[in-house]
Amino acid sequence: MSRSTDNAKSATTALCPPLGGGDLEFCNFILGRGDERDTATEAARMLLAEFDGIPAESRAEPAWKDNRDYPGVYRDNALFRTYGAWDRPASDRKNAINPQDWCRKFTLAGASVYIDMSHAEIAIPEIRSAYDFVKYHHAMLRLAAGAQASANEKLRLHGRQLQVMASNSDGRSASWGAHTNFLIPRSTFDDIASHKIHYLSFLASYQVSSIVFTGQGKAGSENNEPAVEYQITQRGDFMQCVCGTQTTFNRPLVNLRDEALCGRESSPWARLHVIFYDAALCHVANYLKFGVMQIVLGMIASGRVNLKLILDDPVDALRAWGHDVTLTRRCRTMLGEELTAVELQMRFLQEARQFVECGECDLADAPSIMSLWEDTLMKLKSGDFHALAGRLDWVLKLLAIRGAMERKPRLTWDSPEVKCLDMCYSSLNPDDGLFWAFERAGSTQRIVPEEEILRATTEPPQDSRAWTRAMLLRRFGDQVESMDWDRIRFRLERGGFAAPAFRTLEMPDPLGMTREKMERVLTDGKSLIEVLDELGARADVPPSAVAQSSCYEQGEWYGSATNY
Amino acid sequence: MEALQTIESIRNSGIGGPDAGEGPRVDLQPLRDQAGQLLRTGLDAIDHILSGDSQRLLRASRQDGGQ
Repeated sequence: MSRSTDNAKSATTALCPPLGGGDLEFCNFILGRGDERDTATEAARMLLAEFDGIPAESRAEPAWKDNRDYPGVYRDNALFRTYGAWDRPASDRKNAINPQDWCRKFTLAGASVYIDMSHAEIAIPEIRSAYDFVKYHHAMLRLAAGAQASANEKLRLHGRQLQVMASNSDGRSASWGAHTNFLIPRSTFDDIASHKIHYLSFLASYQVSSIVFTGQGKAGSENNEPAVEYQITQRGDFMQCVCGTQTTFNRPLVNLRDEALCGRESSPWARLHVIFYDAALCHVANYLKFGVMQIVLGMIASGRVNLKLILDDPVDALRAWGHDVTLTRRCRTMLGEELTAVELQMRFLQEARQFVECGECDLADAPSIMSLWEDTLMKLKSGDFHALAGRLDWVLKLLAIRGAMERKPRLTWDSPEVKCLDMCYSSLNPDDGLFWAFERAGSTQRIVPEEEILRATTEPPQDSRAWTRAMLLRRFGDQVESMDWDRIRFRLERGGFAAPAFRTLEMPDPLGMTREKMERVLTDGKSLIEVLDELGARADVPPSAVAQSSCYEQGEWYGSATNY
Repeated sequence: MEALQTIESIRNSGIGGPDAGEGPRVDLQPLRDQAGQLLRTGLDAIDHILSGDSQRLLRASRQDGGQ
């Protein structure tokens, strides 16, 4: 059976997303520069410079070399000068930069790092399970912490310090994302986005009530929302409508950006790009954020959409529940019932249990996810926050801040020290990162052992196309001309005065090109040409011909997909 | 399987016990002790942050919006 046929077959039979990904934008800034405002872009570039990886565009000017202010740190290159060119026609974009995706590199574990606006952003490789989501999310955080430490070694001489935080807002009404992505059948995406409004509402209602275990927590409110001492989420104040394709303004609960990253041909798959959630650090919170969503999307794919679980106004409910750490606030469902967020989650749990017990759920680790989900909800229901401190970020942060306030009675929720504690909870710096202090002390509940996380900083997942990407980069990285999640274009030097040849390997199936399928091709000493021949890579039109016609049609492309 | 065992050990780690709320009530005192211990372990980091210049950090942390 050909790969494409295989791909179509697995999509038509899948219910729960068999693959996903995630990405995280950082809060990044520099302490110690005379003018401490507007250091984010500089900080993002410094951080990115310290990541090892293969540039996604070999012709892009390296942004990480020789700078006149910080020798050896990075260069003040021309990228910003072409900033505005992204709006020009495609044929005129040769030197343009997409401000939401520049200086991208792919790591040797198949992951990616780049700059999105003024935030350094990490994207994990394509993974198949909630367990691997936790593992690779933390592996990327370890890499970012290492990059931060390297940058700070260089900055120390200048009396400056790079700060990096895994958060989603700055307390001044600027927000950025921590996205999760799910591979779902095209038909399911179309149902949610275009055909069945109750599917969309069901998903939005699930997401909104799930903040009780996904939120990172935050002191204060933003974005003109009513004042509050502490709230459950970082992102809640910024979600303003139910659905839409936009991500930087009027943010929707359910994002409908339709970008499959499954090749150029029509695919049986789609990618649900979830911009709703906070950056979580606790293993359990991350495990549930990814795993329960897999089950809920499986329920939607099977048509198991109970109208009784749909909220009358999910946007208002997010505000009400997000601002209530006592978890007692009630919101109205479409059928007029008044429920707390935990009560609504219990209803989703009941539906999911039926879905799993009748054998319809096709997720292998569903029993583990269900077990931990149920146990966490029971603890939330009983209001025993202390029991949840090692599992849920918003609870851990709340207890830490309250503990500090009890020890220092002069502190109030309006004190800058309290906001500082809030922000430093997710700092990657081991000295002031509260989460890491708790983790080092064994006070958080691990799902993935540290040694596995460290291994994942360099080893790709074996059960997705990320493995093949990583192996190709290791062996032939110096011949990569450009790449994206679903393709790699190689430059083949021909010697003498001959122009190089170009060949593109399409990788449309995220579930294909696994280690099991590709190891024979990639590990027996074959040359790049032999590998490309065997994998069916196509020959591209010479660059001179490309320059005279539409770049996309002739096999050129520009990375537009920010993450898997 | 390893993941399942890890999760089961979390679930049954004395924090609520099996099916807390549905079965017999469990003794929550160990939890409270653990939470107290948890806060004590974080004190060094908390003190480190509180001894810094909070205003300076908050000024510098201003960001542009993102996705």
